[in-house]
Amino acid sequence: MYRSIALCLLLFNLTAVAHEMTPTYPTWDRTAHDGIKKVTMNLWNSRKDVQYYEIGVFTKDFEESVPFVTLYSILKVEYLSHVEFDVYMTEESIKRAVYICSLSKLRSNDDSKPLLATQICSKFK
Amino acid sequence: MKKLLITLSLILGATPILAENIDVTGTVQSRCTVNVDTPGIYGNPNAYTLTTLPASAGQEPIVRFDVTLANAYFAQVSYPTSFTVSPSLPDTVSWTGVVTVVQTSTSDMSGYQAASTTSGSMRQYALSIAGTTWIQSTSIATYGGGQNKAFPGGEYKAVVLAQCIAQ
Repeated sequence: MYRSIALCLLLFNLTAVAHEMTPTYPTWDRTAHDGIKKVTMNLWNSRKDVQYYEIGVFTKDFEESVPFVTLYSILKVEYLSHVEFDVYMTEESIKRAVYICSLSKLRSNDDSKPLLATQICSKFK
Repeated sequence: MKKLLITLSLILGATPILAENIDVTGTVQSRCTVNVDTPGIYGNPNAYTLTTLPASAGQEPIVRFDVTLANAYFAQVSYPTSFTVSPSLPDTVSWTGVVTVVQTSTSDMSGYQAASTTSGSMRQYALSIAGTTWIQSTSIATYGGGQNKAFPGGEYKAVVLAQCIAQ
């Protein structure tokens, strides 16, 4: 019994500090507007120390940012919750877009320690 | 009575068996999860050094990468090369660091470190096998541009960046 509880606590502890974004290879959907497409992404936050994630779209080799529109470019994602968000782009920008990324935004605290920023990038193929 | 029993048995025997196939479907979706396994702490073994080395009372930050499909992601981990929070530092801070694989979920991944590539402070690993990889980032900051001057008192922070990039 105690072993099971310990295992559950251990598993909970191991999975409670993660950042995840899907799909890995998103695909563009049509919108009601000509020349504009959208992609829907999912973000999962189980990092207790992070509440905000910044969305960015980049060219090959991360050389440049590509303009896009979304409701919030910095998303609030509560601890242990999912957020689904849409990113809208013009067809011209879509030709240049290769990666869509979410980057954890860190807050400073009182400890002298290295902070861990996490970034996940999906790829348009 | 006999006829009744025969009729009943015929009716019951003719009753179709109502069965329904219930499909259970699932999809294995490619995904990468970046986990903060161990937060880092700087030790201060002498006046002019801040280090994550455990021998100097530091703690190495460790990041865990979980991937569900092979050959879908690169893991990239860097060590810091500047402080994000610090008192005013008029002199030079020298940074050294190393990024290493410390544990893998299968022995097939034992070649990850040898096959990795570096670019500045960042090391990239091709996650060619589905499973879990633990990567550690060690950093040492020395103050004074080689003259070993004492760090000013105050709060110091640096950021380790762990990335999972789709291939």
